[in-house]
Amino acid sequence: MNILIPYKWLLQYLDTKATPEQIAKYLSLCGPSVERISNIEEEPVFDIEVTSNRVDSMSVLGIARETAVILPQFGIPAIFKPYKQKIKIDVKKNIPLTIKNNPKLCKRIMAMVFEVRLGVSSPLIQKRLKQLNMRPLNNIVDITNYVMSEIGHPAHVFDYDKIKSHTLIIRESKKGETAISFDNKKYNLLGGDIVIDDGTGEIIDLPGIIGTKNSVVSPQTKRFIFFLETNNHKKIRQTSMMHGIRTVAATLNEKAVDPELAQIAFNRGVELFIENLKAKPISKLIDIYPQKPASKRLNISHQFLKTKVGVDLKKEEVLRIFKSLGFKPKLNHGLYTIEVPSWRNYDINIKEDLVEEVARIYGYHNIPSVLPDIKHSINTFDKRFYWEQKLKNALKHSSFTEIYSYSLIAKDLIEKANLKEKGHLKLKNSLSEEWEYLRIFLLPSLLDAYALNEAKKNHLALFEIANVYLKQAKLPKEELRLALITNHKLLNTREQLKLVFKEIGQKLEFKPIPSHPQLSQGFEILSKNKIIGFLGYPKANLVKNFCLKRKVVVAELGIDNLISSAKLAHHYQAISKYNHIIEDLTFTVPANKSVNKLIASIKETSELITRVEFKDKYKGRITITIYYLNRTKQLSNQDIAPIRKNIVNKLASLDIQLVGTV
Amino acid sequence: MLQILKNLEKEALREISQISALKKLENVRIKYLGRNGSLSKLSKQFPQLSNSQKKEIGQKINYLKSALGQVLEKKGKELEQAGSNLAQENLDQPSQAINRFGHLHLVSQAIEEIALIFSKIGFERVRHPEVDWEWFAFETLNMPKDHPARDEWETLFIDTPQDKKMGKMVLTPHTSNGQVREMLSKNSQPPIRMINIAKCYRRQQDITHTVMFHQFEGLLIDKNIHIGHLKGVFDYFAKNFYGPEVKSRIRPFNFKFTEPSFEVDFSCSICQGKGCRTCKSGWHEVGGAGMVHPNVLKAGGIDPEVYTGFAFGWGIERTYIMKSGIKIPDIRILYQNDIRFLEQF
Repeated sequence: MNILIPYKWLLQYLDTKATPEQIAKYLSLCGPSVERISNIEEEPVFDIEVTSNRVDSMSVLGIARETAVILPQFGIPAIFKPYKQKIKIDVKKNIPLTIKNNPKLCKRIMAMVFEVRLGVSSPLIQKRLKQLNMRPLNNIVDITNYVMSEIGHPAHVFDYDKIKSHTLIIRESKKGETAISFDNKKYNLLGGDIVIDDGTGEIIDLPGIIGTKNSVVSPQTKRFIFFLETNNHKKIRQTSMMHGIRTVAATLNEKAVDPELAQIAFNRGVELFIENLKAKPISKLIDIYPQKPASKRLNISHQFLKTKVGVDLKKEEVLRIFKSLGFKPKLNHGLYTIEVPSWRNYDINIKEDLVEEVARIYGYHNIPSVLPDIKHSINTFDKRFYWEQKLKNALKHSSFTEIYSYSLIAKDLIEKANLKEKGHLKLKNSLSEEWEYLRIFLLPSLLDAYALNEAKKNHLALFEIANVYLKQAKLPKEELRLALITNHKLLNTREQLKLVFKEIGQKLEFKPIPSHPQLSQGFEILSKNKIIGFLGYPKANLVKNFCLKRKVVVAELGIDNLISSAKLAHHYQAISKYNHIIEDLTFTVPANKSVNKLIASIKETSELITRVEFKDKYKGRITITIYYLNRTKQLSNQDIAPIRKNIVNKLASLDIQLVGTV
Repeated sequence: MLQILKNLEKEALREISQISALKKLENVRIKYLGRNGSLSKLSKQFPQLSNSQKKEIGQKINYLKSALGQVLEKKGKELEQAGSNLAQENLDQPSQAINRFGHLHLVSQAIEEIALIFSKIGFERVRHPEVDWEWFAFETLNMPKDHPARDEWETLFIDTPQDKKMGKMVLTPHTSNGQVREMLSKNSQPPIRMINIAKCYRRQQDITHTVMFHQFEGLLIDKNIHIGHLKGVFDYFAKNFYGPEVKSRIRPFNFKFTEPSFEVDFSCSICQGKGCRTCKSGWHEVGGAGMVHPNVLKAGGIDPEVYTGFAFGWGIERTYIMKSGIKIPDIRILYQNDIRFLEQF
């Protein structure tokens, strides 16, 4: 939470010659972070980020206390000047005021009635409020804001005469009750909120959060109740968040303000009312404090401190630091016993909290940097990421560009891709319709990305490697997929994919398929005889839905298993002493015959055929290059002739004729 | 005979002078000087000559052999020289060949570099789930049910039934969900050294936030790990990722799953920490860190009296963009996938 602290105001509670820049610098190193020094009302004002566990520092007093501990660490003298009540209160009258508390809701209540003339605040109070970015309203309410910012405990005033019963009952709201805030907003309460009832059932305050119209101080106010209550912080947060009422008081009260602070704030408030407004107290002080929090004691050994901080701390130094923080330390045989002061009750709970206190005041910048000894283990390490990276690089060198698209997609995209909404996991509270479902295919996102870029480039080849989220019994299966889209030729893309996966030692097979949910024509991709994905031309309706102008090729495959079984152990085959005989044969092949089957068939004809390659295609004729090799002796044309004859005859029986003669 | 030799000489010299290619040279040499060449054939007629003729012809033939040999050699050298001079192309022009590399996304490049730096000091790379239970995302991280980060304004919840023990299903808002998962996967046996790099999700989208982003989470648990070790690792990372002059520093902060907690800054590589227009204060905030809270160790089955550790979790995008020179004003561009952006990296 950010707070504004004027430098001059700080010096009321801090005796030091430190400049604002020095305070900003050193405070940030050891305590709350001073983000900026601004010039407001011609004076320096600190903008400080105080972490939510340090409500004790969210005030002028709190910052003064912190600064007094920190500056001396840098050789700058600084002494904390705690608030001391100067005036004595002498109450003669005692007009009726009844307060009934529920200790579960308020830890402490302090109240007193005053007689006053409403007016304008003193110039000093107005200036200070402006420095805090608060608007001066009237001399009564201004003091409650002033006290809250100065001491750190929220304070409130009621118009005494508006509460005809002169009774304040602290209770929980019931569902359906309403309250109208002083700024005319109506709130329908859900029950369980802390409210003040005037005894008739009417809600006259949402304590700790916001005042209500029916009790607010106005220009007609003649008598007011000065009222401080320390609330159950959990309930304050609930009510405040539920209705979105984020007043400064609420943001303080939801962090467990110290009930001891109520007394300081109260005394200060009374002092200001009397000094500035000449207000007259007309009731006795009411202080309902059912249970003063028990004083908390913590133990920590000097050895523990040294080990955690990583510095050979001196005992005198540690004692000094604890003392300066108000921890009242005792040291006995290497064990410190400290008493947690009331204002740190909320955030100091375990000995690690004390490590933080000692280390930050000692100065994190004073702790030497050292790399930890890393003991390695004789274990196989996870090579998954190594292979993933290799795969990505292979794709990059095959001219593909990587995209990252959102895992969350819109219903719109699911429909465009002809998928079913109910197959997808859905968010309960998505930020927008655009990111509502967890995807089960990467392809729709790639189609989108392609369409976006289609007009920008002649050659486009995109890929993504990411998880899809498949519904199952408990947590979804996060399955790693590769998807790609390109305007390369289909068969070229197939060959590229084979090469890319060869890089990680995996052999992919491509089986032509007549139909597929996503494709108009294409292949099933197999690895070790299992289908792992598809490659081909997207279905016509996909092309239409994504407004693709040119022919594209798409693919998506699961790669978890390919990655986990990747390896590079090739088998070495001795280089043959004898030479290949290489020859080309041309066949007329009817259009419907599979050339791949033809090639496979030729290869099967003899063991001496090591390679059969497709060379060329021209007007219904296919040229094949055949490699013959015998590792034990040099082949000659006479050896080849009978094999060649076999091939030609075999193919002729399949209606594939040789061009030329054997 | 002498006349024949004279004619032969004239013809040979003429033919040699007209040779334009090196490979033709050998043919001409064989023609005149080879085993069955002109001179050789004439030499066979030698026995039929008179003694006085033999002397004169003999001298002439020897002279021709030597002279023609020399001329051929000279011609050969000439042609070699000319050959290397002839092959002068105009090099000052573009190439017709198209060599096309694709591009890896900036985030992949960042992840690779960051993972490498940490692997060198023994941090093992892992990837924990993106969809997780509140149990791992919050509960085991000492974050009680009413902690602000757990409410529906910040975290994204999946529309599935709640689990009795594990709580609701969420998209993890931080890679810290990997902390206790890692401890359990290692059977609660330190040393534990992980760098968890994964996607995270939060309910915010603007100039500096995207709903989906990446974080890297470091966790080191062993005996006697202290604040100095954490500082050492950050200094090491700063130097290796941003530059040798870059320093790191830690300042007090507050997280539920660490105690003490820190905010980590790196000194500005442009002004070396003095302050400039880019960095203002001289330091860039990179993220949070801290000593692992004893409750988190306990949730992972590890005894906090015996072991300690530290953890840090930073944004990949943010950490990478901070490298000087990469000026990306709006983080959302990273996931818009415009080819004109992707091609720049």
